[in-house]
Amino acid sequence: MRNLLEIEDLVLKFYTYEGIVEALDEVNLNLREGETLGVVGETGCGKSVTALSTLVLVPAPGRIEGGHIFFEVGDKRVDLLRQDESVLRKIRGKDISMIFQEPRVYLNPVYTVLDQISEVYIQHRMKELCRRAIAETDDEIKGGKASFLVEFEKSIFKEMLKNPKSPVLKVVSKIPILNRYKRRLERMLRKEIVDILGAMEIADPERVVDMYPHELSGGMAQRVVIAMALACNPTLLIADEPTTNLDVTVQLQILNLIKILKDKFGSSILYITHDMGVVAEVCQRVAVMYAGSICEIADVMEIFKNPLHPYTKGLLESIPLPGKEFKSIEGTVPSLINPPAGCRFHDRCPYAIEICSKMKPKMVEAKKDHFLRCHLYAGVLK
Amino acid sequence: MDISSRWQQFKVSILPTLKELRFTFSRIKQSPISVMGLAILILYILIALLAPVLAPPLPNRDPYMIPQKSYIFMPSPPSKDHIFGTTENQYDLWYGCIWGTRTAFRIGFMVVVSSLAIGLFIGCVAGYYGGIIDELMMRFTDIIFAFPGLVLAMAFYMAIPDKVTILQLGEFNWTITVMALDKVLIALVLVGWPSYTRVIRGEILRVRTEDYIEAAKAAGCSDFRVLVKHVIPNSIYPIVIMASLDIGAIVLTAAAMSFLGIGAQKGYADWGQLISLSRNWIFGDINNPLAFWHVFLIPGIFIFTFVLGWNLLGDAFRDIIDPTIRRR
Repeated sequence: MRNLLEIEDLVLKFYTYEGIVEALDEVNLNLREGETLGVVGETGCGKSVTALSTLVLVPAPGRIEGGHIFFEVGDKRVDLLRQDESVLRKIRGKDISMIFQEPRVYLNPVYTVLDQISEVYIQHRMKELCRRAIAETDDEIKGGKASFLVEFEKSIFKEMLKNPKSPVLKVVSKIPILNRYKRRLERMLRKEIVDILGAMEIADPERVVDMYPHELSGGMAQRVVIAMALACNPTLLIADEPTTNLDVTVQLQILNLIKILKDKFGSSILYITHDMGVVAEVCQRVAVMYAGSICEIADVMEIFKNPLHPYTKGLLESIPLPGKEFKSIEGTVPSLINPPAGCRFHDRCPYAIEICSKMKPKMVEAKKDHFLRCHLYAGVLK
Repeated sequence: MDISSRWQQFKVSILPTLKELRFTFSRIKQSPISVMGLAILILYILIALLAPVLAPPLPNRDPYMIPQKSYIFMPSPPSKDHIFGTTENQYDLWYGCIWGTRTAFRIGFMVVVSSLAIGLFIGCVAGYYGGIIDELMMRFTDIIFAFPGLVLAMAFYMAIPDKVTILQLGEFNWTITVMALDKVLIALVLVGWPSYTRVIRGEILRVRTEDYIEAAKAAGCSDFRVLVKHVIPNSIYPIVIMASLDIGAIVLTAAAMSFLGIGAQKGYADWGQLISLSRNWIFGDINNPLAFWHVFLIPGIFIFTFVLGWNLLGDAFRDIIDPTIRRR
């Protein structure tokens, strides 16, 4: 299976007043077509930043210092870090889209659900809508009872298809009666959006489209955000802890929904979470992240049954289960301003050997499809 | 058949708008104070619209110039010919107050809309792009804030020339004569925009870091679209409310300038000027100190109720336009 997304040696630093935060240190990830890859790790280990760098939307003091992010657009393989902003804008929301952690703050409070989702359509699917509008007007003209206005509408849609920024459109859209073509588009958009909200298993989508974000419940808001993300059938969907702030029951519904939608829309998912239970539920493969680098990538079952990296072992042992005494990992997460030299986990690692504090381990394939970065297993290959 | 079905369609399409409108009115009705403000302003709007009927201007004369009965210095009390009486130099008070309503609206709206536009533009650029541009623009507004507003407005008024030559090509001369009232407007705009700039910049700084802006970027919106469609609608409410409150305040400031002798030309229908003309007559004589009560009280009431109306409506405005508190 080919790789849809490949992140190679991504280095990202935040230049803050306190010092340089080395947030990502040579992150390597690959996401295969059609799979769900979980990224797990503690808060602040760089999961969300990895997601944002995939969209090349790193927040202000952050800067990507090195590496590549290869992504398949159509049949082309492009390095997202070396593209123009205009190219990226076409990719964002269309080929790669994102679901966020706290859905309600990611919805603009002054727009209704309809307006929010229309935004994505206006950005990326206007041409398709125009084509369908032309077909619709054609039907009406053939039906015979259409007035000359419908013919005019059709010519407007054709103009729109040819050149969306045409000055003619700008003038016509301001003239009453002549700008009735907008209404047809709005009607089509509305129908489209009601349909997609229905696919999100929202009850009574006709009513929900006219609601403002603050009128939605948490689960509903998350469904709207997912609808927004899936509106353009993206090939890659990044889900940044989409269920963390929801009730357990709603969480389960959303997880099921994501699974169903994945099959329906055929997207690959990069699923970011800190919840191992969720990972077991939705993912095929897991990448474990610690202090800005990936320490282990393997299949879900492999990770749970046979974890190799000491951090992964510690992480799995720290899941509380009834009847089982859970252990937490000794020590604290290191500050990323002055990260430990060598392996970033060495000062908390119970199996640390001398080389761990001196040299950064390389990514090695310990078994088939089981990669990790640890000196303990470096010898396996030698 | 066709027309009736069209009508049905139209009715259905307009339904949500009507519903919102009805909701807006129910919102206003909830607070009696804003109903009062609204009533006052509707009254003034009616006066302004019906000015030619209420006080018919003399033919072949600028309607904004108050007719003068004679050149007698002393005001005369209300009479049948002059309902509100006449003020100093026999200017008709009724005419002045009615046509002055139009002037008040013009001053209020034009100054506020222009300052809002300038403030919005500069605030947006400064707040959204930040960095050195932000620093330069904000320090410039600080300079304007460092002067007392009224004094600075007077200085600007004096600095604006009466005639501005825009283009001069040999014989051809394109010159604009700046009316005295326009000078007041420009001076007030030049003093008024920094406060809007500051508020809008602060709001934009707040909104810019909100998560939904990031979401909009992730959906593929360009910088300009993010600013216009997502940042501005979320940050504009404070300054719209500020503007609605300011319309009253600006009319007061303009009146104060008129009172100090800096304003429209003599005889122009302007409440401030009517007050200014009453300066000599506030105290009548020893035996009858309130002999000329009408010359200052009547224009005073006009200004007072006008400003009061805007202030009362200001709060209602916030409840109506901000969708996040609108439904509460």
